[in-house]
Amino acid sequence: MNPTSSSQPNDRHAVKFNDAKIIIGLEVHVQLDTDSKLFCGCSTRFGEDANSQTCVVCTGMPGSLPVINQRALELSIRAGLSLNCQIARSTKWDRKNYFYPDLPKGYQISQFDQPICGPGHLEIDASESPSKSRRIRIERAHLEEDAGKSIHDESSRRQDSKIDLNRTGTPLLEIVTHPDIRTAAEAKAFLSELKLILNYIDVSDCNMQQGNLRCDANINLHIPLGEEQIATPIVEIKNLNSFRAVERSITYEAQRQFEVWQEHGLTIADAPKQTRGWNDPTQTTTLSREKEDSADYRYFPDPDLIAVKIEESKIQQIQSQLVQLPSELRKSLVEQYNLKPEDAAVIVSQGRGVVDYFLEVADGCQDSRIANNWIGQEVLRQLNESNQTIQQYPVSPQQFTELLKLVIAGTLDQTRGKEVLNEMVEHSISSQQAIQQLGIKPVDNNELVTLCEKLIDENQEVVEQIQAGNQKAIGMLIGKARKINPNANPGLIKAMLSEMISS
Amino acid sequence: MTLSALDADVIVDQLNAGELTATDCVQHFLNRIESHNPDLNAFISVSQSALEQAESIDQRRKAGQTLGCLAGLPIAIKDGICVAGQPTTAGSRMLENFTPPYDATIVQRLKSADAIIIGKTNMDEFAMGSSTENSFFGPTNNPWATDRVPGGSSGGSAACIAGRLAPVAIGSDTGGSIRQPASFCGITGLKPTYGRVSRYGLIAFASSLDQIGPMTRTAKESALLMSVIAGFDPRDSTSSKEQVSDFLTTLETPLKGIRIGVCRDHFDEGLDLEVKTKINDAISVFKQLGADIKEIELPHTQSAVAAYYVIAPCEASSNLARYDGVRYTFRAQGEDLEEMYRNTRGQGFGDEVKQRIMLGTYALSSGYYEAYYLKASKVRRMIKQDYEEAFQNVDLILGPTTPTPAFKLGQHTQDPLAMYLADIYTVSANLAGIPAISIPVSPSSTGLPIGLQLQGRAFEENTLLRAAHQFQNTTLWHTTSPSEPWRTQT
Amino acid sequence: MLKSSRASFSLFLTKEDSPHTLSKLDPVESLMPNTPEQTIVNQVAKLARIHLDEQQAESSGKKLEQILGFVSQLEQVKLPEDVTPFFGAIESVNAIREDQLQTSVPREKILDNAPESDGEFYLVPPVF
Ligand SMILES: [Zn+2]
Repeated sequence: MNPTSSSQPNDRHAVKFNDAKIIIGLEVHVQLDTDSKLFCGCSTRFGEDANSQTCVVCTGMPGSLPVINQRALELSIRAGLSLNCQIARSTKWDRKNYFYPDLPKGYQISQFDQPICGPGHLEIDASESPSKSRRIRIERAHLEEDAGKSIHDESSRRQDSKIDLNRTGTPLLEIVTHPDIRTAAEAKAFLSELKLILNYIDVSDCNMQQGNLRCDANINLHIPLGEEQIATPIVEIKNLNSFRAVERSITYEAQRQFEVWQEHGLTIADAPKQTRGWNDPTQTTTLSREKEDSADYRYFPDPDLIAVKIEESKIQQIQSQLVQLPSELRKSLVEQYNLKPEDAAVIVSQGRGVVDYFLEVADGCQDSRIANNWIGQEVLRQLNESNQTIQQYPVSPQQFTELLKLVIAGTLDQTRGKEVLNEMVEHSISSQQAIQQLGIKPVDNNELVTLCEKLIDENQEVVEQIQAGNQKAIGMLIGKARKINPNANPGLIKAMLSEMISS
Repeated sequence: MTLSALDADVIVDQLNAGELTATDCVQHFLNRIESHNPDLNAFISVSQSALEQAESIDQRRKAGQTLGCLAGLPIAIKDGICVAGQPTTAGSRMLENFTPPYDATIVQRLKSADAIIIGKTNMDEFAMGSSTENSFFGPTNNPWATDRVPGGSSGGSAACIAGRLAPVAIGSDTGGSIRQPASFCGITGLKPTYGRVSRYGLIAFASSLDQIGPMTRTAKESALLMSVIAGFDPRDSTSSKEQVSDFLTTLETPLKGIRIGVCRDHFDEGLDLEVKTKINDAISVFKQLGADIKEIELPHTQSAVAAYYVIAPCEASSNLARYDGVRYTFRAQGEDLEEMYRNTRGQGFGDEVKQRIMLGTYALSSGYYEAYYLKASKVRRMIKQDYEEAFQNVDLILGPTTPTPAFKLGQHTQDPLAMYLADIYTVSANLAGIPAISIPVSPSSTGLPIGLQLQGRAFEENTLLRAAHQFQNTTLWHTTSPSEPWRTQT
Repeated sequence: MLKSSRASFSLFLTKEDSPHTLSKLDPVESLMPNTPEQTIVNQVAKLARIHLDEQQAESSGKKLEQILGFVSQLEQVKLPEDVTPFFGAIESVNAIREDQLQTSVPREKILDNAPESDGEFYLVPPVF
C-alpha cells in the first residue's frame, strides 16, 4: 500500500514519540446484575454445568420469541443517569446479523440507532496532575444480549469446538466513550471509576475474572509533522479483560503505531480500521484473523420486539432512588470529614460498605481523622490479609467506635489499642472483653510514681544523658517501664519522668 | 349425513350430546387420511396419539368431567407450528427430524380446549410459496382437480379441509398463505389482525407479517376456532392486549346498512374475467343482504407486492440464519466451520428459500438498506394510511382473493414473478396488519373454486366473520365438496 | 439511518450488465468483488453462508436480477417528506416481563435436536 501523504522518511524520523498525541476511545461491556436473562427466564448464574441454563428462547429454537426483562431496562437507566447520560424516551431493538456457533439465532439482539442511553460524561483524575479532573464524554450506552462460549481445543486443530450456551442472552450494557482519553493511565482511571460507580449503584459486580466487564480500546496517534497533524490508522484492541491488559496494550500499541508510521508513513486515509488482540504471554498486540464480511452486520429493526417507551416519571423515580456516587462521597469526606483527598479516595475506592462503616465510626467517635487512620490502615490491611469483605469483618462499627473512644480518651494507647483490636478480630469479641482478656487495667497514680522513682534509681546513666539534653533517651526508660507494667500509659510515664528528672 | 359432511360446530354438539364418540370421530378422519392422503399429500405427519387422546376424552366425558369447548374435535395443524414431541418440519429438509420440546401457544390453547391434533399439514418450505410446490415432502394436490395446486403456503391445510380429511385446520398467513389456498380450495380462511393470535411457536418466515389463523369450511367454524386461539400472550411481545370480542354471538347480526368498499384497481388487468364476473355476482348478494357498496381508493397498494418482496425476504434472511447445522437436526459435513455452514444451508434449504435469503441478505447489506428495506417500510406506512382513510368511510373492503383460480402444478415454478402475482390482492392486509378473510363464491365454468376477500379494520375480525357468515347463510358454495373420486384433470 | 446508499437500482440494473452477473457495481465494502469473476451473487451467497455451484449461481443470479428489477418500482413511489417507516406490529404498547427465573429446559431435551453433541456441549467443526 502506498501512503497518500507526502511525508518523507527523514522528516518522520525527526519526530519524537512524546510529541505524538494518543487518541483513545473505549467500548465497555458490562453484565447487568439481573436474576434472569435479557429475553427469557433462564438464570444468569456463573459457573454452572454447560448448557444447563438454556431454554427454547435463548437457544433460538424455531418459533420461540423474546420478551424484554424489565429490570435490565431499569438497571440501564440507573447506569445512564449515573453517567450523566440522556435517557431515551423511546428505545428500540435491532438485529445485528452474523454467523458464529455460539450465537444461536444467527443474530444478536442489540440497539443500533436508538440506544437506551444517549450522550453523557464521566469525570476522572487527569493523569498529568491528580488534583485536576478530566471529563471523558460518553457517546452512548445500549443494551444487548451476550453470546455463548466456544471452547476451542488449542492443541489439535482438527478437534471439534464445543459450544456452551449458558451465557447466551445475558444482559449487557455496552458503554461507548468518545475518543477523549489520552493516556493508558487515563484509560485505567476511567475503567476504575466506571467499575466503582456501577458497583455503588448495584448495576453490575463488574467481576472481570468472570467476564462481567470486558473492554475494547480504539487507538490511534495524532502526530505533528511540520504544519500538519498526521493521524495514524485506527486499531481496535478486542477483549481486554483486566485493567493491566488495558494499560499495557495501549502503551504497547501506541509505541507500535508510532514505529510503523515512522517506517511506512501510513495514515488513517491509507488503511481501514484494524482489529488486533492483546497477547498476554508476549505482551504484544497481534493482528486478529477476521472474516472479510464481518463488518456487514445488516442491522435492521427486530420485528419480534416493539419499541419501549420510557416515561419521564419512571426516569425521575429511578433518579430519586439513586444512591450517592463515589465522586459525591469523596467530596463529602473531604469537605465534611476533613479527610485529605487521597485518604478519601482510598476509603471510597473500597466500595459502599467501607464508606458506610467509616461514616458510622467517624460519627460515633466524633474524630474522623482517627477513624480514617484506623480504618484506612488497620481495617483495610486486615480485610486484605483475610480476603474478607467489610460485611464479613468481625468487628461491628459500634464496637469499633467504642474502641476508638478509649483511644481518643487516652485510656488505651495506640499500641495497646491495636492489641485490643487484634484480640477483637481474632475472637469476635467486644473491646471490653478484649481488654479484660489482655488483662488491661488502669494504673493507679501512686503506683506510677513508685515505678518512675525505681526507674530513675536503677538507671542513673540514662538519667544523666537526659539531663545532658538527650531527650530521646527517655524512650528507653518508657520501654523499661512497659516491661514492668504493660498497662502503664507511656504518655503519663513520660510526663512524670520528665518532671522528676528536671526537678 | 356422513361425518365428513358435518360442520365442526355440529360435530362438537353431537359429541357433547353423546350422539358421537371422539374415538369414532377421530377414527373416521384417520381412515379418510389413510385412504386419500396418498392422492393429496396434504399431511406431512399424522399424530400417533390422536386415538389415545380421543379415548381419554370419551372416558372423561363418561366420568362427567368438565371438558373444553372443542372436546374431541379433530384438527389439522400446519407443519410450521410447533407441537411438543411431534415432528415439526416447516416443509424443509432442514427440519426433517426436528422435534420441538414445546407447544406453540395456539397449540396449548387448542389442547386445553380438548381439541385433538390429528396431524401436521404440508406447506411451502418455511411458508415461502403460493402453491405448496416448494415443500421438501413433495407438492400437495388440489382435491378439486389433482393436477392443480392447492395454493400456498398453507396448501396442506386447505386441501385437507376441501378433501374432508379433517373437519378444521390451522394455517399461517404472511402474504396470503391462508387466504390464497382457501380461495383455490373453495374453503373459508381468516388471517386475523397482526397481534390478535400469538405467534409463539410459529416458525418464523417474516415476523412482522406472519399471523396464524383458522382454515375451515364455514365462517362459523372459523369463529369457533378464533374464540379459542385469539388473545394476548405474554410470550409474544407483538401480541395485542386488545379485548377479544365474542366472535360467535355477533355472527347473526344482519348486514343491513354495512358499508362495503370496492377498489377499482382490484378489477383491472390481470384479473381473470370469470373471476371478475363471479365476484360481481357476489357483490349483488351483499347488496341484497342490505350492504351499501361504495367505491374506494387504495393508491399505494399498487406497490404492495414490491414492498412485500423486499420486507419479507429481508426478515426471512435473518430469521433463517439460525439454521446453521449447530442446534437443529440437519447438518452437512464440512472441513471447517465455514464449509459446514455453507454445505448445510446449501443442501438443507430448497431453491426458493435460498433465493429469498439471498434477496434479503442483499437488500439489507451495507449500502442498500435505505433503497430497499427502508423505502419499502415507508411505502408500507402509506399502504397502512390508505386503509385507515378508506375505513373512515367503509366497514369492509371487498374484492377477489386471487386473480385466477388454482393454476396447474408446475405452471409457475420457473417464473417467480408470475408466482408472486398470485399474492397481488392479499399482501396488502399483511403489510397493513389488518384482518382479512377469503370465502368461496360460485366456481368457474371448469368447476374450480373462486374466492372472495373481505378486509376489515384492525381487531374487527367479528365484522369479517359476520359478513362471511351472513353471505354463507344465503349461498351454498361453502357446502359443496369435490366429488369423489377426485378429478385428475381439468 | 444506516450507511449511505452507494448504489441505486438503476446502477444495479444497467443494460450493460452481462445477463447473468450482477457485478458492475461500485465496490461495496461488504460485497467487494476482488476479482471480476467474483460476482455479486457469489458474494451474497457467501454472506448468507449458502453454497451454490456454478449452475445454481447463474440461475440464482438471473432470478435475483428479475426480482430486483420488479421491486425497483419502489423507487418511483413518491412519498411525503416526513413519512416514517412502518416496521409492523402494534405501535405504542410496552411488552415487558418481570425479572423472574423460570425453569430452564433440561439439557438432554435441548441437545436432543443437535446434529452432534457429547451430552454436555454442542459440537461443531473447528472454527479456523
Ligand atoms: Zn433461556
